[in-house]
Amino acid sequence: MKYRFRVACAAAALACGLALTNAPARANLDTVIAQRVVVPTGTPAECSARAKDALTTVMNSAFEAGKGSGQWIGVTRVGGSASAAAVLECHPLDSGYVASFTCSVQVPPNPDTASTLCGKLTAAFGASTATAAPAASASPAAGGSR
Amino acid sequence: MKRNPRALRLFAVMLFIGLVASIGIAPAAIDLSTGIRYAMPTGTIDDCGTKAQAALGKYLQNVSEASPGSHEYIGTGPLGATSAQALTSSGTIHCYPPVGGGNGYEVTFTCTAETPNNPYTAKELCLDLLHNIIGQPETALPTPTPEPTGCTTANLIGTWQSDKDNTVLKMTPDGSLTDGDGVSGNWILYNGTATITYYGNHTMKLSPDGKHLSGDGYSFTRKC
Repeated sequence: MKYRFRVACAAAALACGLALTNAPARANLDTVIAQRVVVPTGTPAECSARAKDALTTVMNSAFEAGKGSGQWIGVTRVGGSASAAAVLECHPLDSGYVASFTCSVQVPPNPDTASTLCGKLTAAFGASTATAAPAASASPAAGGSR
Repeated sequence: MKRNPRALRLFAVMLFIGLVASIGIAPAAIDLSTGIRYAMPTGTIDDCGTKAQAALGKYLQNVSEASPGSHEYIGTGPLGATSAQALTSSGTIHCYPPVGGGNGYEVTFTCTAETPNNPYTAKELCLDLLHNIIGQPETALPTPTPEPTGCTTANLIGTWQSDKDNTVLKMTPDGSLTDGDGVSGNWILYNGTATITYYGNHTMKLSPDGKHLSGDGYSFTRKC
């Protein structure tokens, strides 16, 4: 009888604990397209290498969506779940390439917004050595964040 | 009733285990898809922009070009989301000139969806965006389940006005509650008895008409 009561107590407490927090956390999904970077002289392979390095530096994760696609993905996990993701996309130009940045972040748990994450990636990509395309020009053009 | 210290200790320990276990399994996650890179042999990059905005507008809202002339478009969703907290998906479409010049354009996609809060996956969204642009049959995406409304004894979802002061609690289907100042808590309802976690735990009774909640010094009326 005594053990039955204890087991009942334990089961009730476990159920309460699970019910209190079992609902999926509600987070705001924040997505931006950051300013694209145009490199007038360079190869797609160089762009891919820089994209991979930037994602690895900032997010500690980088893989190509499909071999040779030039679409590089980084994912940040919190507690085993992906809470931020970014795509760096390389597209060849005549003698160079354009790199575009798309970032999605769950807030919370991330302290950074999607804009902040994309800013870090742009910096890591080495935007200072590249040329940001002027806004409102013909393609390839400057992007912006929203 | 005689208190059993061991049972109380056991209750506390198991409650803690339950909470910790839940924290580990509860977080929502981002699902990402880069869709398919598609090369269109005809048309201009402006055609791509027009189609991209139309495709995004069919499945998402707040569609815009990242900046004028960028040919990068973004939308957030799902359709019908009324607050920032309800935004659980997004899609971006990038239009590029064809490699090597000439006619046509290249289009790429990036889609994200928060699982399990979004009614469809990122891959499903990206596939429909592509199919919309190239004129292939699209698959209808599920829409969010509308929040239950009205007074019921089945849940506490809705807006509750304190009968004693101007406190207003908004309780949502995921078991959470928020007051007007952004202070959050949780609610549980079992057999007409509610456990409200809001500045401590409070046990209250739900009236048979589902409209009044009272106990532990509190009294609320649901707007319905």
